[in-house]
Amino acid sequence: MKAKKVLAIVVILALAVAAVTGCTATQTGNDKNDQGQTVISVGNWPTKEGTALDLITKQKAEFEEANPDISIVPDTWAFDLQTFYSKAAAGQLPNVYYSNFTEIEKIISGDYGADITDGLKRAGYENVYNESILDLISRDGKIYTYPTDAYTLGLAYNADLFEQAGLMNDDGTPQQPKTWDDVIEFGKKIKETTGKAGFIIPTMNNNGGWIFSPIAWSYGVEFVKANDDGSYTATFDCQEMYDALKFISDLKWEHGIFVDNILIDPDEYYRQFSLGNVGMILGAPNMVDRLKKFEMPFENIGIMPIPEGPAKHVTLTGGYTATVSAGATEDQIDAAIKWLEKTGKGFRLDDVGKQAIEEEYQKKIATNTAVGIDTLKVYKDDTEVAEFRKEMLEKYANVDLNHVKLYNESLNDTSIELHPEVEICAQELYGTLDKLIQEVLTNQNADIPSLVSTANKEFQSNYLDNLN
Amino acid sequence: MKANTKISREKRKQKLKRYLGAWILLLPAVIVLYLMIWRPSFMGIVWSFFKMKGYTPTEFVGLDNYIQVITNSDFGRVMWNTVQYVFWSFLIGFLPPLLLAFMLNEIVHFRTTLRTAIYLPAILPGVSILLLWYFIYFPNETGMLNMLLAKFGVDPYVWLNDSRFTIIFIVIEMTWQGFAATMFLYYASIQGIDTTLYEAATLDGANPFQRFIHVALPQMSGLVVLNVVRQMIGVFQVLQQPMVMTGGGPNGASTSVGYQMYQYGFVQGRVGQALALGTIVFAILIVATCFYFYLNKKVEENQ
Repeated sequence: MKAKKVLAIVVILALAVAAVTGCTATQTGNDKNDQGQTVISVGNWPTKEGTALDLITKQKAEFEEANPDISIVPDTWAFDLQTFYSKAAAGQLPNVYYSNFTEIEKIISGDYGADITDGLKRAGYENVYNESILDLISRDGKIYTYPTDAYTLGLAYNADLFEQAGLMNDDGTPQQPKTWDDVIEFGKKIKETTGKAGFIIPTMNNNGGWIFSPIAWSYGVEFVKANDDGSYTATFDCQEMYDALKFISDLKWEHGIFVDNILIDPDEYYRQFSLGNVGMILGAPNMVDRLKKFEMPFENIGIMPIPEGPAKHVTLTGGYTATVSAGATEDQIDAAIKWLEKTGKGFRLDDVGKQAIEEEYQKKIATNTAVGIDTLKVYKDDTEVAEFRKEMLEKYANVDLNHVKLYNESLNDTSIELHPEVEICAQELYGTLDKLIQEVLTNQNADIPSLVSTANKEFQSNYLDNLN
Repeated sequence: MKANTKISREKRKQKLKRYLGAWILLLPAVIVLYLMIWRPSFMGIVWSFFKMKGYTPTEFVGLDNYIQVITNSDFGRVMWNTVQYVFWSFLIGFLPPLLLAFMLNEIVHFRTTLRTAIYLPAILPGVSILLLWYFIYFPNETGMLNMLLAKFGVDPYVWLNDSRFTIIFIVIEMTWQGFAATMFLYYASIQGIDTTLYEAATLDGANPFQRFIHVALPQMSGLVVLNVVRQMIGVFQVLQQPMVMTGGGPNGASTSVGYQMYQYGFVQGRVGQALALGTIVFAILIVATCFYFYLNKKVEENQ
């Protein structure tokens, strides 16, 4: 028996030692190489041969020539929650990594981003950010991430189906559904004339909840309320929410303008739209990458502002951001900001910025991506970048600019409220909403008030009451 | 007494010496097992009692993660769903490989061809099978099954979108995907049965069905029982199918424990809860595995 006991003790000791040593990896503080250059690794580096890799390689060479004290190390890691935490725990995140706005909360609350407030000051970023963007990227007056692109959701439509349904104006712009009721009317016309679905939203992988939230806001719903004592209360058990869900339910059961398959993940969502099986969806300018995947003809791509709800005119804002990983030195932060400016993300319109912006559009053309939909400005209007971007957009546009005109103009429309995602438990909320959406779309007789009431209660007890 | 232990200790020493080579040969496997399975499992259990910041434990919180997981209103539903997966996979998935193995053994012509044909599903990559079935089940007139229904003038059916039967449809897919490997285990076992038994039964006038019930089945009952337990353990961990085909829907109707764990860990970033749920599943499966080993021993003793 003794040998076995000894063996058991050895194994347990080994495990215990491993347990203690396993979690002590830290970011290496070494930011200089042998030549004394500041080294920064940059994530999202393209892996495939082609235009994107050629462009960034060229930019790297130019950048290192102009800044001999900086060395850029390519890192192909792109944000993915499945690998993010292990990378972070092992101190192996790239010094500069990109993510969606959605992840900012995780990044800041987990201390995975460096405080770049002073670095931005040194680089002259005083009072340059749009207010709505600034709220997202800062905590207690400190800025933790560098937004590179921003967008709002709009009502994307298939211009071909609109044409067939007689919904285009003579000047080549679409008729605009002003309200959700109009969307139903438009959808019915599309269904009658083409047999295709009128309007759909996704329902899976938390995308249902994400896309549904601006609809609910426009009915007057606010999902979560922050209390004075730091706790949160779920507040979507209300008539407005019932109405918003009834709108979704009616798309299918009352008006028959939804698709047959109600389990719709993002791929399926954009696939149906690209293939011309659906007249209208809610989408952001960056949907063009998805549409490219399913080869939607450029001449069919159109987008206009999101319709107004019974309570207000509101849309969801999102975007991309670059984060300097925690533990970076001042030199690294400065180098990172310089590099981001080199890639055309800065607020200054110097020759470097101009060239990068133009190259970005050239890249899109070369990779067969639709160009023409403008994006929300990261920086305030008085910066020249926006103007120059617009000029380049029109120069390189390959979609019909009349098809996207209403959306592009709406970016300056201050009557549309810009609403960021809920600040807490966003993914959990989206999961909850996904389920509600799926239920009202599969069950014609769903008791919406009682479903919402249960969901509200469960969201509160499962998640909001368990915040640490 | 004392002399006895001394002798046995000596014996053990000799034994250890004799097997030293074997231990050394085992070492690489032990290291890999340690790094890939034992250590992660152990750390997972330890960390499930901690508040996690990403993959870094920050503070001991006792049973907090467990309480959150168990009091989550989805917990009961998800467990029940998983039990349903196991139950239906037993009901639907148990017979096909067994019967096919027996049929394959009985037929005389084209045996090799059929064997290859039957094994085909097992060599297709998992996710492509799931996408294939996604389109087989697609709930409008472009879905394959609905095309077949249309031939008989039946309206399209919504298949996976029908939350009452989603799990059953997924289990049918799982059976199609997995039966070939099981079938070959049975087939090998049938091939091992003494042919004189068959001949005797045939002489006595037994038909194929009787031969199956009275000759083949008793001979391979051990293997069958083991396979059932193994299948239960496997199906309890189902993840890919709901993830790819339904996203756990409609309205959570097909969310399994595995998928819930994935949601905690990789979508919601609730690592502590993911580990706690993982530990709960681990405990359940350890019990099942012990039961498996117990049966395995029994079966081996009987042979």
